[in-house]
Amino acid sequence: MHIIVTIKQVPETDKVKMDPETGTMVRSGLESIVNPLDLYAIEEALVLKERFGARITVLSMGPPDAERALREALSMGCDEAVLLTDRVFAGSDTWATSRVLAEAVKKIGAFEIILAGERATDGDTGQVGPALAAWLGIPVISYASGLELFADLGSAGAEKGGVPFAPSTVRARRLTEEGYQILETEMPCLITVVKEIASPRLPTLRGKKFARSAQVLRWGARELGLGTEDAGLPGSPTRVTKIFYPKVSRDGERLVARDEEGIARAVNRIFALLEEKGCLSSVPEAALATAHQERTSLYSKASTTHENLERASLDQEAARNHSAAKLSPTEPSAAELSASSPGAAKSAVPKPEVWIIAERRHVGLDSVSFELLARARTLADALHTSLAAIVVAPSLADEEVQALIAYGADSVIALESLNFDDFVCETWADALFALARERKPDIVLAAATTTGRTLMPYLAAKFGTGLTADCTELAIEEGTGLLLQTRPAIGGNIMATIKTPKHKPQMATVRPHSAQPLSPDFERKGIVLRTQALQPAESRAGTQQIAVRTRVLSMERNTKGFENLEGARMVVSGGRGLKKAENFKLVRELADALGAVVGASREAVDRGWISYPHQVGLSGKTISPEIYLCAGISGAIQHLAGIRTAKTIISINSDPEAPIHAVADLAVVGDLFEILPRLAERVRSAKTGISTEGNHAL
Amino acid sequence: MLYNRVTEEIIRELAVIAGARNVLLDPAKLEAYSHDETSKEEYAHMPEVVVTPESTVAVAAIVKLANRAHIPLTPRGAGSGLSGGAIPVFGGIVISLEKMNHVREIDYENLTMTVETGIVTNEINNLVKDKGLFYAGYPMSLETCMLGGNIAENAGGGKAIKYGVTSRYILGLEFVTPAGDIVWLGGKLAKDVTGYDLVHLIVGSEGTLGIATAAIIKLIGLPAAKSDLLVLFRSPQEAISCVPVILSKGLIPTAIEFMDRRSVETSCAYLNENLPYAQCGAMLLIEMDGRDPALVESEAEAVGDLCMEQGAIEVYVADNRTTQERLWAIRRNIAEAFKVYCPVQSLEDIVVPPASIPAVIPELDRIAAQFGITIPCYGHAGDGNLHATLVKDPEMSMEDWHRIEPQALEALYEAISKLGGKISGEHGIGLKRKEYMKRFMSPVELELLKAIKRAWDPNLIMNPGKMFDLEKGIG
Repeated sequence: MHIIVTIKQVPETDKVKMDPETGTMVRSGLESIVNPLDLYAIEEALVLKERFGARITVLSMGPPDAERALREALSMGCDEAVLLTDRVFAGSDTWATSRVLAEAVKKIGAFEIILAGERATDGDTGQVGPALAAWLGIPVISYASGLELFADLGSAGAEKGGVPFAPSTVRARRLTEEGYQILETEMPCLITVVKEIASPRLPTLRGKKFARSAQVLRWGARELGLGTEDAGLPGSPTRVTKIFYPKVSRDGERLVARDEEGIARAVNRIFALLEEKGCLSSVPEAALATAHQERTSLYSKASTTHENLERASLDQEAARNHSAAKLSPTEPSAAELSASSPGAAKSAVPKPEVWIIAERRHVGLDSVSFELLARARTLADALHTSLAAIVVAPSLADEEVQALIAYGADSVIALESLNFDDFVCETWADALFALARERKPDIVLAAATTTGRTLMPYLAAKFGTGLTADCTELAIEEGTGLLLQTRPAIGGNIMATIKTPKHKPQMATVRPHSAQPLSPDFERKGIVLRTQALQPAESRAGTQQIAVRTRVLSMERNTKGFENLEGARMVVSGGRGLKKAENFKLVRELADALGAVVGASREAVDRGWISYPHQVGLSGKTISPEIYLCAGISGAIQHLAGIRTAKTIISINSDPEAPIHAVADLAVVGDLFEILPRLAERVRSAKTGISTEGNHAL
Repeated sequence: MLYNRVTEEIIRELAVIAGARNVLLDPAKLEAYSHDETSKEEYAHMPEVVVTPESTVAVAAIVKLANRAHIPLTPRGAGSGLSGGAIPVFGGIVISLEKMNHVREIDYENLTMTVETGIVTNEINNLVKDKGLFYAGYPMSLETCMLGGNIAENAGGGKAIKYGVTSRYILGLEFVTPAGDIVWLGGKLAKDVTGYDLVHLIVGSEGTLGIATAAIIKLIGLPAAKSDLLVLFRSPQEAISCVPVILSKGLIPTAIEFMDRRSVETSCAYLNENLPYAQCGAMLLIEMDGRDPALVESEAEAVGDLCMEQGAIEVYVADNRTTQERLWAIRRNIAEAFKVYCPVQSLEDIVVPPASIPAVIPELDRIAAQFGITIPCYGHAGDGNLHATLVKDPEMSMEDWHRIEPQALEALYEAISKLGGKISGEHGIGLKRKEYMKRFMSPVELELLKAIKRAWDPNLIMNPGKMFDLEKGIG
């Protein structure tokens, strides 16, 4: 078996600086390390090597100095190393990088598995892996937390009598917002891994000696048959147009809780803040109702019927109440327009649309879809064009269509197929690719979720266009009409504005909770297209082919230790200050009282006090809850990267110097062991309507 | 002879000398000055007043006042000591140097720095790092401790085998004598035999001879490269036997840290570290540093080879910060890991001839078994300075602990004395170990110490009740 591991050399995140003039990273004086998330990929490759016998080639693109990262991988036990280094490659974006890597993989030759970390801690895009798979035309499984190899599809046998066999199938456990998806795919394939998959080994003296004497192959553009226009800045669809430094400190309120009185005051103040933010209300209409509750109330208000929809789309003019633009469906030749007037189909040449890829979970549309609509509505209005919500699903309910329109979509295009029950990147990408070829959207937005962050880079590679990950701001540039995509980078230490000047569509994933949905208007009218027939025949064949290669076996929802942190409106986190695993119950009790989700710092997860899906920060999850309350977390820069866009941060830490206090809206210098239980008790009492003890009300 | 109490009149005088804002009387604020890092309930004692002077002149005036009025005076830095040295056992005045933290001069020609002793030691290195320099005399508790405390205790730390201890880097002192006189001792001199070496008498005197208000410290070139080795051995004997082999080859590691099996297991379990330590009886953590990365790498490799020749099970190499942090985390978290097991402990810093370390381990096991406690052993193998830590069984009552702790300590000190060791290598005697000085120091030597004390501080006002007792009580 031949395994290729792609790695990146990154600067240590806590010391990164950017040059505001050039928009590039100041690398001098920084120690460079192997991207910490790639270490898990290396370790998993080594584990597979030990079990099945394998040759491991480690591959990296970077400056000549990146050879050190490759030698580190060799010292851990990898066999061969290839460094792609050339001035021509400098300044490549993720699209160009994945292209160069793809050429290198082809040159390396036959392989069974490519492993990569889910993303790099500096760029934090996670785009190169899926894009590389797209270039190579192989299946991708992202966010894998476990792998099993089999001799052939479906034969769930282990090593036969301990004798290594040649595996041909990978079964992966993939971490998503809903739980673990179990998928199987054929080799060759590309897998990106999360930290949970393996614990990296340390290089041994023997390994170091091998690594020092081993040859690291160096390939430039010429060796890969690439020209100067194929990589680097000329070969990159995206351009960084602006770099700026966000304000990190929040200048929040600070309380010192050293004694009884201070503790009581702190508990009162936190309680009051939670109350002010509506966290203590138990009625579903409250501001902090869960996404699911939001959906339920929405559907009941909508009271949609099929006739409504038909009538809705017949009235073309009335459908323009958010937008001045004319929306015309594309030529209905191959399309089954479930509801549109013959007259509308004959209107003028359509302006390119703005698309959002709606996010759907097993319970229905996710609220992030409405956030995307809010973003896209502004863009579509600025461009005087229409906004289409694209839904990939086995079938889309009328209420869902109505909701998408109510929240701002001018049209809803449902790609319906039984194949679309679960997210499989290649299958979805194929269908969307075909649709996009047909309708040529100007802009495509998706949520920066495990789905969006896998699908979009795969699609962008197929389109040959740029993609910006995890945007927190989007706007239209005056004059050019280009999409300005602003995102945090380098652990949130800088903000970069990026655009895709010459390629279409312009693509971006958007950080969940970074925008508020519009208030729904259930009088709005829109068009619905149900589109199995939109798929050209050759693409459908392709779809089937790939669908066989990757299939979803099951979905583990609500497994023990799993929490949907990304979707949570309130997160209560604990860190090293809890001292031991058992003390996590203090965090959990408060979270339960509030109806919040439990998070954790890297230290707490590394110590095995709580499982990886709880981890917040650079090597865990990036979240934007309404309330982030953390106790015993010092606020290392890697942790702060994950909570920069939280609306309200409350910190409890006995160390007055802890960096977390500087970014908190309410910083409490005090003992979490005193504060958490009292706060939990206070919240419980308030929720059950029992008046709290007098001594709390100082 | 009796000490006097701090009166209203004294407080008024202190306010005149140091300014009213620098005189603390609020019991809530005084509490912070009543203890150090030793067990609060065993050793803490409240001061009557705390003064935070901002100049040497003010310090001298306060000392003069205390000397005249026979009021006990306890100098204090960051309060991170481990011997009770900064605890005002007789009450009186605590003189905290926290506001005397200015850098007076950085002399790049002579590679010295003149700083007030209230500076946080870690700050010194932040200030000169960009110039490629560093102050090598800093101990392990580098984030909080102050230079003044390091000087008082002659702090050591993990890098002593290559860089020595604090005293090597103290070239001169601005010193306030117990009579309240200000004097400069030493200077920017590499050699100085002009009279007794008073600078190095004061370094390590635990604040009993006077107060060092500023120091001329020596700076050296910052080693740019370092490489760490974590070496797994089957037994402590095998681990320790490597140390002279390495040193005799002219290889001088920056640190050779020893961890016994119990320390490794507890720390690794606490950190969830998955190193294969199952067959490991002891570990060494060896750090090489230097200017040239290639040279450091080759020296580290040579050290690793020697360890393998001596029977090491495995050698892990860390030459970047990520892996280095991971290795050092094991060593640094031992104390914290045992605190989670049981917070009641007595952290010792015995020192033995380096070759005697293997012989210490069975003694520790014997004492632990005898008293029903746990004694992990880790520390600086290169210089024989071990943190044998007495850890209470979580089930044991505090009553029993208080009964057996002195007996166990006695047994420990007895054992290490027989091995040619001493009771403290870097933490100092202070309050905590003075009773054992009588037993483990020859009467002649002890009397020489006392004679110096009486000669310098006839009224016995400077940090009384530390290191040894002299005839004086509370008035």
